[in-house]
Amino acid sequence: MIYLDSAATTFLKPPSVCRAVGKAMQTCASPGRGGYPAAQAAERTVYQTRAMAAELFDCAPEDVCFTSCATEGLNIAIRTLVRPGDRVVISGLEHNAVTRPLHNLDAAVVPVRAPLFAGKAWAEAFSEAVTPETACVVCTQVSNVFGAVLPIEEIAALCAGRGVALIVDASQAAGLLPVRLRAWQAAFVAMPGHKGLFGPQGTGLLLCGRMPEPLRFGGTGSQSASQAMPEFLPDRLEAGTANVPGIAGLGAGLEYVRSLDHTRVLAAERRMLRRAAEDLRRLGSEVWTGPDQAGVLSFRIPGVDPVEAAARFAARGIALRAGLHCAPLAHQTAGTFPDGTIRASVSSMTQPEDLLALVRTAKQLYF
Amino acid sequence: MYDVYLVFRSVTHGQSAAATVQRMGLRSSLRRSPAQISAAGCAYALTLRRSDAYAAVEALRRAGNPPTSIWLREPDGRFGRWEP
Repeated sequence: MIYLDSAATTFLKPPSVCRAVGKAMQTCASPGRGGYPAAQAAERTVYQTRAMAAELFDCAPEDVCFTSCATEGLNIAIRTLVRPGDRVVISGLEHNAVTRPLHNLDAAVVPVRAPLFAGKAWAEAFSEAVTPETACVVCTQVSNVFGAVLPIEEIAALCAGRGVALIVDASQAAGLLPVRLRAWQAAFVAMPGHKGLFGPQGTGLLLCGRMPEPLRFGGTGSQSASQAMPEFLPDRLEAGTANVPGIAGLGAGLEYVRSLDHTRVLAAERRMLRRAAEDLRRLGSEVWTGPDQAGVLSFRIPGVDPVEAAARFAARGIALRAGLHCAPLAHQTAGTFPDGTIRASVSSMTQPEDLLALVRTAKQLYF
Repeated sequence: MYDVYLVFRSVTHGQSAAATVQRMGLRSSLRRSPAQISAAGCAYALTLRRSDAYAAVEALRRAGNPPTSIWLREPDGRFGRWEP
């Protein structure tokens, strides 16, 4: 299989990740619950991953909370900051992981729109939309549909300057682009563990710049005599038994990420995607590409349903994702709603030959 | 002998404290704290030698992670509040 769906999950993992999961299952009991060696091994494993994440993402280990996915983190962040009727400014590229919790809260959502890949225009559009009445800004760092990189530094500075809380969805950025909780003065940054951080599925991180409201209540191995959830992190968000094998795998993934030269990885990914974009366009495909793009390329074959096309690619051994990518708002912003697009997405494990095979197969199937 | 107990609210705070103390070159051990020194139920204690305690507590205060309480374990096993 040629795997080009890393924006969904990085199916191709460093071997160290699988080894770490297996080792944790054999050696780790529940952390924060016992004083015996297997419990202590679990505690060490969890803390090492937490401390590594803190170092990578500019925060203290206590600010790093483990979640099951980015969606869980975004739900916690949004439910902490948003009340029914609140004005919430979001980018027009947000995933349903942002828009559905806001819809559920009956928030007054203001989507900001600008041309894809036009970073400055996005910053200006946010500047116009963020008013004194704005309760919160939620912004993705990279579009999961088009790979458009949003000017998160400028948006964060804008929010900090106007005293508006910022939630960043770093799902497609973490592991590839800088993520900085403290420097951005963000309220929360959510990310999955299983995409650019190469951890197993079922892992995620929520970086907390503010005290969150928990979604889950229960035992934390701390202040057990009290019926209230602890008022401190990370315990406030980590009720129940931790996913220690997953966290161990995520730790191995973070070690791998730390070993990468991110500038080179980003440049290599951009080269591969740019070449594929040019080739697909030359064949007659409609392609969405631009200067500030990371990891993701959307395209369409004229007159062909994207889902049908992806099925034909799959039959030839090429794994792509097609349709709305759980981000109908992004497709409305880009004018690709309701059919959506075909998405090829890469990681540091992707080889240039994989994209060449995509183009070759497109030519064989449709041109 | 590790006779000073620095109590922390959670295992994570205890682990961060252990990392701080380790960076100072001091020896310590993290364990679940005995019930009699855990004010609100489960907590964690970083245990270390009395001679290292003052420097450790100062460093932890500077790092923004001070212990919630400090105890000295007497040879007979009883605990008494302790100020470094």
